Amino acid sequence: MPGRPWTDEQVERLLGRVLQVGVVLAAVVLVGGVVFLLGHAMQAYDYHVFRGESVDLRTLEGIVQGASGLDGRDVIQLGVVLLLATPIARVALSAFAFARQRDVTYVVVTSLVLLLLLASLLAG
Amino acid sequence: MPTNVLELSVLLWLGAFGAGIVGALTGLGGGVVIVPMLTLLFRVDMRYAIGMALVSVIATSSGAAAAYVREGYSNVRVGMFLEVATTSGALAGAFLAGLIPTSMLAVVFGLFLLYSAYVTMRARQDTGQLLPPDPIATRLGMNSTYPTPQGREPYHPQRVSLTWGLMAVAGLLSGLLGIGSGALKVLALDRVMRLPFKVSTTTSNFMIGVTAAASAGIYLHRGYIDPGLAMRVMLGVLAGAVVGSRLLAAAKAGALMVLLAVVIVALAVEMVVHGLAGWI
Repeated sequence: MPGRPWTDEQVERLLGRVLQVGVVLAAVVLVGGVVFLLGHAMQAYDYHVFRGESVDLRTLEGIVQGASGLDGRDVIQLGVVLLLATPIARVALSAFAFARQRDVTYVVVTSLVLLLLLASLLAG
Repeated sequence: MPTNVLELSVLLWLGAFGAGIVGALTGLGGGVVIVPMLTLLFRVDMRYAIGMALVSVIATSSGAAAAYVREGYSNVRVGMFLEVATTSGALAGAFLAGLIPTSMLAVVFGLFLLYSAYVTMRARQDTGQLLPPDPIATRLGMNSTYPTPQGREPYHPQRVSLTWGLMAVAGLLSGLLGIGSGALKVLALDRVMRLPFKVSTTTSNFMIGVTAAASAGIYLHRGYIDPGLAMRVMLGVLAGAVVGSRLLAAAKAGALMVLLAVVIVALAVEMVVHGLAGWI
């Protein structure tokens, strides 16, 4: 079809590939964190009382900063954040794909979903 | 009950692996298994459990997607249009969750599990009849085809507005409870929108990941996501989701649904009882 270089099937296949890469990357980073953690004393088992995480494990800046210093817990948290980001990457890529398909309605719909997702990441 | 770190790690990994398989096979996500397992079996605080439910729902969704995408079932336009409703609902729900005590959350979650089991038991049989196209769905470009043994068959989604409203409720529940609320999504797609069953479950599988991501940021900021638990849960769920998505084709759907419903009812009753007794 002229003006529609990408079919829905091509888009889906590309989205699947992006998800695969994201998931594998997240898993590799998490395993890396576990390796760094092994050098230190393992944390005692106590999740019965909720204390909340320290600031460095709750914000993106804190996690990235700690992970760059090879703090095991921060590297693990970075792997988790990468995994949590995979659906967002999927939505962002969909917006791009709908733009390539000149599908204005769905560019608007997908951008709205993306905005809501980013609002939730920045809020809290 | 596990007493040392190694024992805890192995048991958690195995439980998460099972949650990933069940979540991917049913399109419900891993949260329905993870929350009761962590709170009841491992005595983990409800808020840490909800954080792990979010992680496992996204792991199931993204981990299983590769296999489902290859089969070409999920409807991107239906999923994306309805995600506007679920992400809005999820944002609202996540803000409300901080204001509601955890014991009440456990009761709500238990009742929701019972409802999920009821829905699972009553799964509609595909009649295979092509319904007339719906004007709104046609304007939104939602009419599509899906693969069958006889080649790709067309289908026409129905009642877009009602489905959209139900998805807003599904989003609210998932933000409140930290789950993908896959059961409500499959119900709406299957019963109200009348999509073919495999299109419903795979589109729901895509949607639960996006909905969960909408509240994940908020839970991360609140400190609900613990790396010590995550390192034991995430890899297990991912591995389980990949295995589950491969098993789907060979699995007998009817038998699976009955088994799942029985497990869910048992867990739901426990959640409600523990929540009412204030043990969580």
